Amino acid sequence: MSKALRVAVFYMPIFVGLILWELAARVGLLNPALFPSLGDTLSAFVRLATKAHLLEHAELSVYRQSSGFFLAAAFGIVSGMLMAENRWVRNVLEPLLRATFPLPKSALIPLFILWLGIGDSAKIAAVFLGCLLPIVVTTYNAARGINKQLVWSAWSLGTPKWLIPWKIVLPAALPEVMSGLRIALALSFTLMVSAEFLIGQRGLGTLIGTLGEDGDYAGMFAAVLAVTIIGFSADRLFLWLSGVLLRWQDR
Amino acid sequence: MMARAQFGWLRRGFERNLSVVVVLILWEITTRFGVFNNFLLPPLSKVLARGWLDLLDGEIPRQVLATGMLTLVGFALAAAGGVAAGALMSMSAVARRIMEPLVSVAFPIPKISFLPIFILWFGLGDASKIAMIAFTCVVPIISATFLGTTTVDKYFLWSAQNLGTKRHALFWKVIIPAAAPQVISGLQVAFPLALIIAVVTEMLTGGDGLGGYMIHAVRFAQSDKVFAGLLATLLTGMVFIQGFAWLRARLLVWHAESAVVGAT
Repeated sequence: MSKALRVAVFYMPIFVGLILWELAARVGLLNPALFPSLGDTLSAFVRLATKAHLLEHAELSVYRQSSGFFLAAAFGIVSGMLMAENRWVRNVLEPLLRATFPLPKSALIPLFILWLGIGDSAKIAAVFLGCLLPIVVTTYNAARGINKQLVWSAWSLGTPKWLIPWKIVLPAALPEVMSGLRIALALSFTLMVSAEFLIGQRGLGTLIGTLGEDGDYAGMFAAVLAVTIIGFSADRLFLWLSGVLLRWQDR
Repeated sequence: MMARAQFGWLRRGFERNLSVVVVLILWEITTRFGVFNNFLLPPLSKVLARGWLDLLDGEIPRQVLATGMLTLVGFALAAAGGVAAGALMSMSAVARRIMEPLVSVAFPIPKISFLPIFILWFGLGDASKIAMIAFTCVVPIISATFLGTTTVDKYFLWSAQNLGTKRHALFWKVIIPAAAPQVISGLQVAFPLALIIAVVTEMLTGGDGLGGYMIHAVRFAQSDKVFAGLLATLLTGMVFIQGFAWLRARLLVWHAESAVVGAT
């Protein structure tokens, strides 16, 4: 079986579900005021894309989400590595992490509205800080948990000490770091949408909210579909990238 | 010697949390000397005083209780449904065929974007919030249960079957206990999500709860209340997560992992 066919067979139940959705709406099982049909949702999607600047809203949302996420990834991996390699950094950061980790990340949104207002920076900051902690913690745990023999071997083969964290420890910890980043990626979309629901004039979250308030429920479903597609594609892109980065792993 | 032995835990606790203490002291000192704008960052003492007042007049306890109940109800629904669905997937090929693609699509999508749809269906009250929490948490619980129950050590199954265990008993007596650590890990991953979503939905629909308390404080520019709400939310999260870890240790007392944890 070719790969495309295998994928199609795997996702078959989803297509069946979509067809059932349309059929249920056609025969009147669904109240159109509460549950627009698939066809209405798709035509609303086309309408939003051509007339309501759906793409611009999406670009803005992705810009906020990805700025926050990539900043968190960069800071998170570096500080997690520093914590694992340096006793002083560890002694300072570990208690702070332990104390702040249980905070539900969404509780930071009001703080950033207070500090940064309702513009882009508040949303980026909320995504950044929300994603930062899980990334630091997974990187730190992964770097601490690597097989020490790898470090000893590199050492005995003459790798300079300052190179070991980046040449040996980080690659060895990468599988776990990548799965931490994947969790943070999902969280980044959740925080982006939540922040946009709360504040601002543009972005997909805001668009969903305003369409709902206007009673344009087909449009609202279409905008939710757009968010769903973006989140799903980002995850699959990430999985593909981790596959490339980790192709040395024997599984 | 006596005093040292008695207060040893206190000293160790202080040393283990030194940097937190330093940050809290710096927060108080810098805000007192006007390094930061006192509206944007009120002194810690002011935040604590506000928190204390709202604690005594019953507002914070009420909000903590509201958020806690919401979280627990939504999470309990997700746990019951998710464990059942995950177990069903591992037992029935048809269920697996239908649910695997659904879970794999539902896993990465930002489920919070469905909130306005849930509000449309269930109204602005608790029902839509609970539905949102359950929908968000159920997916990781299903996949953890499915993975846990399908990767049970084959020797356990063979031994039990050899000794005459029936299929039904095999599931309840062997597979479920053997998968318990992974299932509970899945629940532990899902629980913080329940809190995150509870707080967000409270912010969005207003009304009771810690999320509502904080967003109300922002709208009325009461920054000390925002911080008091943050502290209360943090403490609520801590209590829940510690409680969960305690429960895990109790439930898995018989398991090898408890012995390891006890040793360290």
